[in-house]
Amino acid sequence: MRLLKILLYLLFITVLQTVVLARFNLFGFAPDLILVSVIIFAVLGGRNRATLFAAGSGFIQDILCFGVYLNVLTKVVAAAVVAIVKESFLGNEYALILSLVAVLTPGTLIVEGMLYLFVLGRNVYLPHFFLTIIVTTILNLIVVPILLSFMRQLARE
Amino acid sequence: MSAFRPYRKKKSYALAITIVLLAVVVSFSSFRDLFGVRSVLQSVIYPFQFVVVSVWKGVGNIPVSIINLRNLSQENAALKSELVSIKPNLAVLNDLQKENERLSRALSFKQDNQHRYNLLPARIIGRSPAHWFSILEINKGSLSGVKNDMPVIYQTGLVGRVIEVAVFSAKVLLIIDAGSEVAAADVRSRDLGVIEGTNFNKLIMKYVSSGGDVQAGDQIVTSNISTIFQPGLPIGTVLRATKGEHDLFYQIEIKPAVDFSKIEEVFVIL
Repeated sequence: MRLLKILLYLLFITVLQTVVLARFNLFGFAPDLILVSVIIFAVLGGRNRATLFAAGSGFIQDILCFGVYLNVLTKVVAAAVVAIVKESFLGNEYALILSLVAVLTPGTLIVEGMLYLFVLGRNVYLPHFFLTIIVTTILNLIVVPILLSFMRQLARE
Repeated sequence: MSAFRPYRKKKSYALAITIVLLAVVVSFSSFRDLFGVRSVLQSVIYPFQFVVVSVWKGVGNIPVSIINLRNLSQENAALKSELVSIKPNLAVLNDLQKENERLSRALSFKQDNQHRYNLLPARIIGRSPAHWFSILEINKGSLSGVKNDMPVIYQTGLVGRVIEVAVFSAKVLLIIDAGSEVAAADVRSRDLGVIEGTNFNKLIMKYVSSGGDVQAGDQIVTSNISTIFQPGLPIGTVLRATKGEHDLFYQIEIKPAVDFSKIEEVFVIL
């Protein structure tokens, strides 16, 4: 039952991201609901489940993108980082999630940008690169409370 | 129980490393379409996207109706109850009229072009959820005859090309994607170059010899040396064309002919 709820949640945020946020965004920039969900799930849940959730959500994101599995890679690494940080963090859960989103959003975007530039050999335009990092980080921080309340419901069962 | 903790940690790290390695290996292998699994999963997600797009179009009228109702109640309280029922309908009709005009333009565009290209109309159902790619998803796939590398156009110009096809849907790489390259020509001077995307609503034209003649305002179209795009498809207008004294090539910025943030329907050239 819980697995079904998680799959439905993944489908919901994927459709929200690709259809709704594609039309309702800020000058073409939208929050990365999947990354925020991965961070929240890794904070609330266990290590292995977080890794599998990150892999699954990254995979869905990659299916709807170009034919490389860049998001699987970055999301799984992000989940692993959250698991390591969570162990030594003494403080409230909400502050931890906000700090992780503030650090991991630019972190994953920089890693993706570097792989995009050096491995895939594609162009990265610096104004767009920096603007994407700043605006996406702010938007991700804004959606944290909404997604957190959704995911707490999921974790409750 | 705590004795098992280091073992569990190692197990979870091993799981993460295995997934990362798998992702890297599959990304650079010849089976990155996962033997058709990508296409199947895309077809599974497609109905949900299609339903949400249809609902989204209906819901889009609600804010207009609310704003109209608020203004009317201030202007004339006596007619409020009557207008409550009329105004939302007007907003819906207005939206329908705009949609009708847009589709009529699209239809006449299709009829005008019938002698030149075999056009397949398609609706945009989604956009890429990744930051570094400018990709659209359309509601026509292999079932409608769509194939890889088919050009996609809009009434005003070139949109991109098909890069992945599922049964009911296909992905279109936009010309504004930083990985997109299109052979192009200046309509006035016939100078040739290559159009590259920037992921912004701006294009760059490269490799135009500084001996050529490109000016702001010139129209840029696909050139006849392209192996994917038919010649003469409008790409955009030159915003700025500069060259240094010792430069080999021009530095040219292009404003795309298509406003990619507003398109809802496109045409695939079959």
